[in-house]
Amino acid sequence: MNRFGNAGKLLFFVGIPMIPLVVFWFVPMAVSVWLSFTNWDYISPTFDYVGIENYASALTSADFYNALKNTIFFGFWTILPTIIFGLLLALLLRKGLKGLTGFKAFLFAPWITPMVAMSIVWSWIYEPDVGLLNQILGWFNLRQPSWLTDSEMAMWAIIIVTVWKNAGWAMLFYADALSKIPDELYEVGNIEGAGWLQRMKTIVIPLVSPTTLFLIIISAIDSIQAYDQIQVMTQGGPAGSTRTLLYLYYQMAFEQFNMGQATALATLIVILTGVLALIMFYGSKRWVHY
Amino acid sequence: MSKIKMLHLSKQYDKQKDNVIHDFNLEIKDKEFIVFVGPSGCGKSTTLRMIAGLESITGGELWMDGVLVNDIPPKDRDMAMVFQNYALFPHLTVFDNIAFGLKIRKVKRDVIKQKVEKTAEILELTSYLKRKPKELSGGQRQRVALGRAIVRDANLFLMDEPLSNLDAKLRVQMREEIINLHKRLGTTTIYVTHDQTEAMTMASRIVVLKDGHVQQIGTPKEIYNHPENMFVASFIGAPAMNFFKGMITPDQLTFSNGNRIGALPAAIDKQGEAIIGIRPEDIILANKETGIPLQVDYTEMLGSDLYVYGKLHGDSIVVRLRPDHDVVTGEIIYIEFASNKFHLFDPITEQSLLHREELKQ
Amino acid sequence: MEMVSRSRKMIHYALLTIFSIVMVFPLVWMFLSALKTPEEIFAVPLDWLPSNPQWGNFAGALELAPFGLYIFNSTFTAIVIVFFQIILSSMIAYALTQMTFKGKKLLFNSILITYMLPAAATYVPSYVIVAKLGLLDTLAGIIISNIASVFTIFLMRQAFMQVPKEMIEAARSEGANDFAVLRKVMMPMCKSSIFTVGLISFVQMYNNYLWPSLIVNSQENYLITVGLNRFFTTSGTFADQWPLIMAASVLAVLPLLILFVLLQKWFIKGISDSGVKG
Repeated sequence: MNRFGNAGKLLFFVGIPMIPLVVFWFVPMAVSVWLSFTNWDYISPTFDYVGIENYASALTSADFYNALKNTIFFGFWTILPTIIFGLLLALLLRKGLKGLTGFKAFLFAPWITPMVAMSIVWSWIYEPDVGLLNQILGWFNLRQPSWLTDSEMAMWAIIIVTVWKNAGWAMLFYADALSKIPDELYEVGNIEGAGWLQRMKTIVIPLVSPTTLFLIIISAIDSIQAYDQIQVMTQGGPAGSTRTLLYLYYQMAFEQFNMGQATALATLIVILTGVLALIMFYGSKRWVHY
Repeated sequence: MSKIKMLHLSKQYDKQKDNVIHDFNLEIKDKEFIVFVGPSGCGKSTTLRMIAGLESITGGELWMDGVLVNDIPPKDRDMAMVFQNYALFPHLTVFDNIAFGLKIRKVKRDVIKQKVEKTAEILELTSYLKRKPKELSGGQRQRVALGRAIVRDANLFLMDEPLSNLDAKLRVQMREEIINLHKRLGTTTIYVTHDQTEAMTMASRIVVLKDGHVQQIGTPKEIYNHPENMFVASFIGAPAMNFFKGMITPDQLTFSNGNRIGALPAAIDKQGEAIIGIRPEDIILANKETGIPLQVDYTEMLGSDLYVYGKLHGDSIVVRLRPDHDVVTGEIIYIEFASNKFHLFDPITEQSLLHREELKQ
Repeated sequence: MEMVSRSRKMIHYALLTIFSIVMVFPLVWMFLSALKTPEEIFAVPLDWLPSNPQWGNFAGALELAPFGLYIFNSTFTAIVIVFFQIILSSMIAYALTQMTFKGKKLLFNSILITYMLPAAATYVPSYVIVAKLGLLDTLAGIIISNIASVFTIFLMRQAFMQVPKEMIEAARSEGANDFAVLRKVMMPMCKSSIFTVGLISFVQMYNNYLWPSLIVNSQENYLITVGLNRFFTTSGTFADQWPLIMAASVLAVLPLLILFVLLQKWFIKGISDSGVKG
């Protein structure tokens, strides 16, 4: 094969697919960082370099820290229940039960639906006076909060929807990981008389730990990007109680057209994601067993 | 000390019509090394798992030291089990793997340490205690699995094909180690294998199984020298016993065409057609005048032995000779059969025709 | 096989049934609400079932907004996007697995990093680029900006790595060039992975909301997610509107549910096999 043929082939196999990748991923990533040092407002054709002013104003604004707090709160309380619930569901799907695929399909079904549509449906379920949830809570004489307009409860309402939609997805991964644990290991536990908790602690949790790490990282990235449910159900409100970093970014960029500040925020989100991924990755060496 | 009695044990899975195990009866004395042997699917592992309590017992009774244990959970049966694929926990060190059962049973920490270290010493694992299973060789992993069994001082060891994942050389070495371990600890052991060599070399008694039926129970010597049926005769011993059609007359054995084979090995009631069995090493070379001619189809030189294959009246036979004989393909050799080494089987039931009383000697 | 006692099994069945009901119930509730009258939907205590299913609610919703068109737009763009994603990703995945060239590692690492980063970070410049291309408020704008998928590249590469070397070498020795190897060996051998990747990508594109909502402006270009949310926000939460909103949601979800019922095995097996991102 001559050199030219090789180069031509490369140009074809790598070059063509790279065009959209470069145009819509790599270049915007770089441009976004560049814009974060300007005061561009999208409408005016000119802009000035403002140095790190955008970052400084972001890092000193209460909005930013409120959004950061909301993002962490939202992330923690969606990831933890998604993972626990996903594992418990997968544990229920024991070998030898009938209708496993049917159960899996039902449990997984929420993942398939559009978040926008389901957020609308949940808005209806959350309706404070006649909504399904509060009527059910009423039977048990429990408090019936006005979910989406109460700044104490709105974030929980969004968390519930997110966990509901993703738990079945986590379950599929755990079901797969559990099926790969050799029966003999359970049998050893059985012979030694390990109870349910001991079996979880000594066998199941260590052996599915790579899956847990994978799910945590993916769910974390996912939770940072959560937008649809917030947009439909609360638009970041009430009183900014559901405004995450990403939602703040959206409002800055596409409601206020404050592109410089928005892109600075985007860069911070990227850094946050990267740092988080690195921490989880390195921290995992202590509890993940391959 | 552990005595085990199995009375009419049987096993049937929900969806299957036939039993996997039929009417299994066996009494095991303390300190015995019992080997269950048979081809795959014969029910040997299932029986072992019933004894362990990992499979439910469909019918019959299982007694351990005078206690009926049919419904007693595995952990209370005071036994330890070694699995074919070792069943080590990949995330635990060798120490923690060996200590697993003790930890579950909430044994005190210093006792655990002392016991694990003693076990590691016996198995020469002391320098590996901090390693993970994936950093060990196959033989070392198997030793860890053994360690997990012996650390608990269980009364009964159950081993399910523990050596079949090892290569040939290591298998022989580990066989040796297990035998020595048994001598040292004296723990009653039930060992499952499909390898007749393991059965012959390790067992104090062998149980031969086929299709869920016990074929024969006996010492290696009894099983080898007095197989009760053609299956046992062919399964134990390598190369397998030769079989050919013959006739029993009142005073001798003949081929179907009437030519003499040899004298009767014992008094036999039955006369007429029979299957005659003879082991390859019980065929010896004879001179041209008295011997039976055998055309050599091919030979196998194993170093210690020379196997000669040929056909006798249509039945394939193999002869085991000393390696210093020069035999080439196509040659005709003359053979005769060592007297008194014949095995006679009923051509229909395939059961041995030799008297049971004679077998017991 | 572990011994699971009958009572344990029953507990598993019971819990699985309860959880399945809980998970599916919002969908069921959506269907039931879509068939109720405004009086029934606002009844306290609850009216579980509509006494007289109001099938007219669907027609009512369709009168207020062209949901059929929205669904068509979504399906059409998603199919075109998935088609291009598969073609382009298979090419680059082929290069990444079968060719040697300088910077291959760098290329793969940049793709890997992109996979981990929030896509939203690129939205401002991407928006400007789409605008510069004159594709704002067009379906083409949505399609073009989505055809590069790090996710499909990643999974296609994984699938291609599973193809036995001998197969490729055999094809090469028969005189197949790279195009032939890709088309006649890799693609057919990875059929099921490609199908799963395409399926999941389709669902993600159909459900995509934020980015398309930025690009399209006029009603005839709305995707179903965009159109549905506009319908929801503009119609307000008056009593009369809830059954219609629920009917519209049913219309939006229905194509995916049908797809899921038909191909559930592919979703369930494929997702855990391929390590798909959510």
